[in-house]
Parts: sequence; structure tokens; C-alpha cells
Amino acid sequence: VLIAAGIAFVATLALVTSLGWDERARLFPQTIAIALLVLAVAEGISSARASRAPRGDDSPATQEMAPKATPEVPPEIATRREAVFVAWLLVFLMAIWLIGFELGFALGTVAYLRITAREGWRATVLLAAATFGAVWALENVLHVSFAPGLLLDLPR
Amino acid sequence: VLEAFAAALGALFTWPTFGYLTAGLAIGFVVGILPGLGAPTAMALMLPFTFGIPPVDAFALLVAMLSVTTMVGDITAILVGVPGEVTAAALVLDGHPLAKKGEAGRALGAALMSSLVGAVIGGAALLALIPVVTPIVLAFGSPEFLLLTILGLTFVGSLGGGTPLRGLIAGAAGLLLATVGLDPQTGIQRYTYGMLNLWDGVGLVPVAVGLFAIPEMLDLAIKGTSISTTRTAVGGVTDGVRDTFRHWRLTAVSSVIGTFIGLIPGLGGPVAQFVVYGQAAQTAKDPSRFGKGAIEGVLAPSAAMNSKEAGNILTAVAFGVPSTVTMAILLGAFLIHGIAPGPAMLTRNLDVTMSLIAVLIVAHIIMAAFCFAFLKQIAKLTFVRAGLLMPLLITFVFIGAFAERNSLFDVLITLGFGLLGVGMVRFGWPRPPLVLGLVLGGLAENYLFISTSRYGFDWLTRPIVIVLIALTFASITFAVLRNRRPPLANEHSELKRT
Repeated sequence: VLIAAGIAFVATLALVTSLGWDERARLFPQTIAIALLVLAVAEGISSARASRAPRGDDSPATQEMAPKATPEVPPEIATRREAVFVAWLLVFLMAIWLIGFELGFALGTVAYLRITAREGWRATVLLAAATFGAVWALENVLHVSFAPGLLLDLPR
Repeated sequence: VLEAFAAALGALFTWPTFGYLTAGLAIGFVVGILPGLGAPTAMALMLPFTFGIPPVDAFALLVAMLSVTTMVGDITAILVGVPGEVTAAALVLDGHPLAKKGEAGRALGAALMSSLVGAVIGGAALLALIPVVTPIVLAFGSPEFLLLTILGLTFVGSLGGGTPLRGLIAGAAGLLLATVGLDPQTGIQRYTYGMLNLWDGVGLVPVAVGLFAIPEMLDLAIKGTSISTTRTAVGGVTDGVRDTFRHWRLTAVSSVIGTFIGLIPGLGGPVAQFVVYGQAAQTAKDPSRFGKGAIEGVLAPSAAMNSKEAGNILTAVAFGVPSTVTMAILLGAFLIHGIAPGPAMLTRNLDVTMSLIAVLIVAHIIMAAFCFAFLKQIAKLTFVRAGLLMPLLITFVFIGAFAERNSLFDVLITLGFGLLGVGMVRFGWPRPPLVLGLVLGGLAENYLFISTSRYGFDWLTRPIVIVLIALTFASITFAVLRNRRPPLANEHSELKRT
């Protein structure tokens, strides 16, 4: 019900935002926003009815809400690993933003393999070098224009 | 036509034409494996190199590259859950679960063989359709194309199986997402909230990669093991090949649907894959298997993805209407080489058209043979432990997200949609309709604008439009009625979550 309410809110916001636009610009977004609003209300009603119906602990809704644990991984470890994964995504993002793609991915790989994966130096150096080489090749052979790192670009 | 085709096929195996074809295959293989760096990028990069070579050689290079990028995008989608091309996103749904179960070889074998069959059927359909296609395509105007996009969306929206309403909501959300950016008619900023990065809208690659790849990576990170923990079945490639012919009807129907979708301007791989996936799920005896590793969920999209290229080529050469970005670039190549697309491509320049079809088929056969030779080695990737794989996957996903528009903002979009994808999987919302809505949104708006400008609301009374409206309602009704049936055992399946 909460998700349906959220979608209904987004649809209403889209509708309200489009009110001041030219007729040609708003025709399609308004048509879709109204349809989305109606569908979200229907979903809300449907979910509310379903939540009132008696059900056991193994009902679909309960399963959907269950933590993302597997039989081998207890929920608390699953949650911790989730947090670590998200943190690493942010670390990689910061790395490429600050020091560019080539160095950022290579250093991110070294950090991940040493800190989280606890790999040996040989595998770490090999993979980091391969990553650096692949990104370098993309930039210099296929001419993909990677953004320069913020810190490395400062002296210029 | 057949004589011209035989001559084109023979010419393909002469030097240097075959050399250009091989070069196209090699470049396409590298580019196709990386998400974001798709066929359009590769073709745009290689176009200047074709200026000084004869037209047939130039098209051997470009079309071989195009064919193979579609084919190899499947490999990463199946093995690591990261679609190498947006057009391979549907393969994540069932191909990757098969890899997790230790059946990567079978999934890859099925994907490659059905790709090959799809390309051959598409090529054959193209040959057969050349004399009759003109009146069919000309009978469709903007109103009919608009209804086709809506029909496709409702068809895939009802893919949620047990949750058709959620599928339709996801599809509508995708359509709304497509309106972000500058309005093509008036130039008004829509839903950009002053952000310059949103002026060009939301990119398809960052959204698709975020929605499909990040949840799989999170799953892998939580498990902490290799993608597959079953070490018994690295093989199974021949099983996959057999599956293609065991489900020959599905493969053939998906190929034909793919070819027809390829004929419609604007629709293309992203649409074809989900429409045939929906068709496969809707017509299966036990749809609850879909999303958990149903081989039919691999066969149908792979076949359609490759057969649709034939349809794309036909509209490009016969009408000069490019159905996709890659076809627009190919048309550019035609013009550079002094060839005007149009009816003459089916008469005076028939040799060029036939060489395109021949390249399409031969490129698939060569690449399938190459992949089959190394498939067992490729499938072993699923046994690499998560710790080693994760930084490579993160690199892969970030580069893919960035490369489409060279924008760091797109990496943020990928992360945002990754979060959304995780939530959608966890709370039982289907993801394909959202992607499809995003693909179709721009087209649907354009068709709606032209239809209302040209016909007012009278376009709603056109006969083909009425038939398509009826089909749309029938599709929704069918999904709703199916939802009301008593649940099958273990019906709460991944299908609901995909």
C-alpha cells in the first residue's frame, strides 16, 4: 500500500508539474500521469484488500518482504554484506570521480581485493593491471573519452 | 532474387571481402561484451574507415560488426547477469538463473543456437518478404504504430504473470520516465528540475544496467560464493543446442515476431526481446518456471534479437527508414558510398541488398562456430569466486553506464536504478515493463502527436487501430483472468519478481 501511495504521489507530482506547460508538451505526460495515478490507486486498493485477507507466515507477501538472506547466509550477515557492497560501489564512484577511470578502477580493485576479498598480492596486482590495461585500451584504442579525475585535473 | 543471393554469398568468400567481414567480427566481439559500448558506437567509430573501400566490403565490415554485437551481448547477460547490450537484458531473467544452477553451458548453447536459427529465419523471411512487404508497411501510419507500441507494452506489462497490474504500472512509469528532458516539439524542459544532465533525458543503458545488473551483483555479494555453486555441469552445451530444436516452434515463432518488430521503425531489440519473452511466458504450460531458469526464456529472446536485424535492414534499404540508430548509421554508409536507399535497392542495387543478407547469415554462422569452440572455457567464469569477480563487475557496470553518453551522471543514474531494481525484485514488481516503457515513450509520444495533429481524434476510428485496441484489451483481460486461476504449486515464483 505504501509503495502504491508513493507511485500515486509521483504521478500527482508529474501531473501538477506539467500544468504550466504548452499543450503540445503536456499532452503525453499528462495522459500517462493520469493513467499511472489510476493504476496506482487500483494497486493500493488491491494490496489493502490482500493485506486484510487471512494468511499464513509463508504467504507470498511475507516472502516478498523477507530479508535478502539465502539458506546458507543468516539475515544479519546478509545485511552486513549488503552494506559492504553498497559501500564499495560508492568507493569506486568516488575513486573514478577523484582520480579518473584508469587509476580509480585499478586502485579500487587493489583495495577491494586486499580488504574485502582478502586475496593475495599476486592475484591483486594481476587483476589491477588487467583492469588498468583494459581501461587504457578503451580510451586509447576505441577512443572512449573518460572523464579526467578531479584531483588530477586540478593542476591544469 | 535467389540467383542474386547465391552470387552475393559467393562474393563474400573472396578476398578482401572476407577479411573485412572477419575484422568486423573481431571488433564486434570486443565491443559487444561491454555494456554501453554497443553496435552504434562501434559502427560510428568504424564508418570513416569504410570511405575508401568498395560498398560490398564496407557493408561486410559494418553488418558483421552489427550482427556479432547482438550475439555476444548474450554471453555476459547469462554468465554474470550484466547485459553486454541493452538488447540482451531479457536474458538476465532466465539465462543467469540457469548459470547459477550450473547450467551456464546449456544456456549459452541455447542462446547461440537460437541466435543462429533466428538470424537464418530472419534472413529467409527477408528474402520472402521483399516482394510483398511494401503494401503491408505502407498500410501502417502513426496511429497504428502508436497502438502497436501500446499493445507491446500491455503485452509485456502482463508479463508479471500473477501481477499484471504491477506490470502495467511499471510500464506507465517507464513511459513517464521517457518524457524527462527537453520536449522534442516545443523545447520546454520537462521534469529536469533545473538539472542540465537531464536535458537529454534518462539514458537507456544506465537504467537497464542498473535495474538488471546491480541486483544480481548484490545477490552475488551476499552469497559470497561463485555465481554457480554446482560444479557438475560446465558442459551441457549440446543440451542447449538440442533445446533449440526441442522447442523449435517457439524458436521459429519468436524469430518471425522478431523480424516483424524489426520492420517497425523505432521498435527494435529492446522491444523485441521482451515481447517474445512475454509471448513465451504467456503460452507456456507452466509459466511459473519463467524467471527461475526456464530454457524457453533464453531461446525466445535470443532468436528474436537476431531475426529482427533482417527486418531492420529491409525497412532501411527498401524505404530509407532506419528503424534503429545502427540502421541510421548504416544508411549514412549507403549515402557515403553513393547508394540511395529505396525501391532501387530491390532492383538495380539488388546485389548490395543480397550481400547484406548474406553477411548477416554468414557472420552469425562464423561467430556461433567460434563461440561453440570456446564455450566450455567461457562458462567456467561462473565458477570464479565472488571476491575476485566483484571489482571486475563493478568496473564493467560503471564503464557501461558511462560510455553511452560519456557522463558521470549516468553512473549515478545506474546506482539509483540499481537501488530501485533491488527494491522491485524484493517487493515483487516486474522490471522489464519499466525498461520497455522507457524505450517506447519517445516513440509513443511522437506517434500520438502526429496522429492528433493530422487526424484529431478520428484516428481512433481507423480499422486497424480498432483491431489493435481490441487486441490490447484482450491482452490485459487474458492476463487478469489468468491471474484469477487457482494458484499452481509454488506459484510465488521469480516470474512475479521479474
